[in-house]
Amino acid sequence: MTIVRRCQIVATAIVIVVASSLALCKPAMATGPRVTPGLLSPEKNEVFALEMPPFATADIPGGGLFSEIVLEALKAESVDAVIETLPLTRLVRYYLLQDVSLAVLAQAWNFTDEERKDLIVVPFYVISGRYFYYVPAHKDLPPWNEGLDHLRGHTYGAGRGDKIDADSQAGISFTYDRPVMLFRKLKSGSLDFVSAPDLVGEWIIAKQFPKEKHNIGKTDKAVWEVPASIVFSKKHPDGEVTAKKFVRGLSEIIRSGRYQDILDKYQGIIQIPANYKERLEYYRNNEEMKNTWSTRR
Amino acid sequence: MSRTAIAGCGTLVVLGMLLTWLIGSSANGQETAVKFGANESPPYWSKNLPYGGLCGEILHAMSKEIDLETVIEFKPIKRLIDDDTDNVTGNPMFFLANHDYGSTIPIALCYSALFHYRPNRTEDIAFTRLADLKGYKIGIQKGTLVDRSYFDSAGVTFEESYSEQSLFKKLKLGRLDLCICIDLVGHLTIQELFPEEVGNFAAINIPRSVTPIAIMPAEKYPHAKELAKKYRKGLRIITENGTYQDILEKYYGKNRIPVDWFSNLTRFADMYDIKEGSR
Repeated sequence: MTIVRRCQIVATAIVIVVASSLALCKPAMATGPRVTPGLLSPEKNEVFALEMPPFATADIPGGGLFSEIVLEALKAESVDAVIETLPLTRLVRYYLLQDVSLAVLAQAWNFTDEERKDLIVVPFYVISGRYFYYVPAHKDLPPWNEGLDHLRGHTYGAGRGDKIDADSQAGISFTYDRPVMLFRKLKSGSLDFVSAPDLVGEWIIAKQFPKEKHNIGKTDKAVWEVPASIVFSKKHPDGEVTAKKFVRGLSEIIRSGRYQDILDKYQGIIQIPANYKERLEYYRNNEEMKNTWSTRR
Repeated sequence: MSRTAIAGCGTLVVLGMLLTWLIGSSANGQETAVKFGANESPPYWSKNLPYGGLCGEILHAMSKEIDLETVIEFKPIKRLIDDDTDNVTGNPMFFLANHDYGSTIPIALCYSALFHYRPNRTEDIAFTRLADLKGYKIGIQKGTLVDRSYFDSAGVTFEESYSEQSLFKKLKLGRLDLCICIDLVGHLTIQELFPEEVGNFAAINIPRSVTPIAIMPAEKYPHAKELAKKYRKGLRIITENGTYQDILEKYYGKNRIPVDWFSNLTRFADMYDIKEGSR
C-alpha cells in the first residue's frame, strides 16, 4: 500500500469519525436565540440601554418605565424604535460612541467636552435616590438625612460609575457592584448602607426580599437626583432630526396625559415622586445640568 | 543481604520513583492546566464532539500556540452563571449581568436563522421587516420569547417547542410555517432527522442575530490579566496561520462561513475589551 493511499485512508477515517460524532450528537439544549423585538424588527431603529429593572429591562412587558416613555414619545412623532438592553454601561457607551448608533438611554455619564460635541442629550425623567440599610444590623444608627459625616468607618455600597467624591471626603469606605448584589451584601452585613435609585431599590426589595421588606430601612426623603436622558448621536444620519422629533413627542405625551398614564401604570409597583414634573422641567431647561451626575438635595 | 531482599528493595525504589513521578506529574498538571466551565451546547461546546466542539477546538488550538494546557469542564448553565469563582465560556450577556470577569475574549460567533421547508411553501419568503412575518406560524424554543405583547400587536404568532428536533419535525409536517433556530444547530438537526431532505430546507439569515461566544477568566483567577493576554495572542496566531478558518470550515463547510464573521469578531473583541473602571 502506498503512503498516499494510507494517508487517504487515515483522512477518510478522520472525516467519518468527525461526521459521525456530529450526526450522532443530540443538540438537545435550551439554547435557542432570545426572540426579542429587536431581533425580528430589522427595519426599526435600535436604542440601547443598561439593563436595570424597573427602568429598562427585558423582564417586564413593555420593557420598563424608561422604555415605555421613550418609545411612546418617538411613536408620537411616527418614529419606530426598539429598546435593546445590555448588561454593562461600557457596552452601551460603545454602541453610542464607537458603533454610531442612533441613540442610547443614559444617566448623565459625564461625557467629555469632545464627546458632547457629537451628542444631543434630552432628559425625559428625573431619577431620585436615597440610602438603604438593613434595620436589624443598624438599629441604633441615626437618620441619614443631614449629611454623611457621622458615618465615618462605615461601608457604603454604590453602583458602578457613581461619582462619590463628596462622599469619600466623609471618610467612608466604598464598594461598587450591581444594585442587586449591593442589596445582597447589605443583608449579609458586609455593607452598612447602599445608595440606589428609589425605584430600583424598591423593585429589588419587592422582587428579591419580599419577606424582609420591614427589615430594610431607607432615608425619609430622596438625597440625590440625576436626570435620565436619551442621548442621540449627531454622527448618525438621522440623529439630529430624530432628537428634534423626540423633544416634540415628549412634550406631546406630557401634554396629552400619556406620560402620566405610563407613570400611573408603574405607580402600583413603585412610588413615583410627587414633584417629578417640576424636576424634569428643571433639567430640560438647564443645559448645564444635563450632564451632571448627581445633585444633592 | 540476600538477593531476594535486594530485589525487593530495588522493586520498592522503582515503585517509589514511579509513584513520585505520577504524583508529581498529576500535581504539575493541576497547577498548569487552566480550567474553563462550559455548558453542553453542540456543536459549539460538547463533550461528545472531537476537542469539545467548534469552540472547544478553537480554544485548544489557541492554547497549543501559547503552550498552555486548557481543560473544558461541562456544567449546567445555572451553576456556571451563579458561581463567580469559575472561568467560564459562553454568551457574555448571560454572565456579565451577574458578575465581573477578569476579561471577556470573544472567540467565536453565533448566528440565527429562520428555517422553512420548501415543499410546503408556494411563495418566496423574504425577511426585511417584522411585518414580513405576519400571518405565519413561527416555531421557537420554549422560554426564549421576550415581550409577547409586542409581537401580538404586530400580528406575529409563535408556537413554542421543547427541542429543535420537535421544531423541525413540525416544520416538515406543515404544522409550522417557519422556525427560529441557531443556524449551525438547525443544519445539524436537519442532517440528523432528514438526511435525504437537506436540500428541501431553506434558511434565511436574521440580520441582527449575531452574538459573541467568549471565554471569561474569573476576576479572582491568579494572573487573570496575563492569562487573557496569552489567549488573545493564541487567537491572533491561529487566525493568521489559517487554523481558525480550517476549524470553522469543518463545521460550516467549505466557503460557507458567514461573510461578516471576522469583522464581527473584531468588533466584539473591541467592544468587550473593558478598561478598568469603565464598567
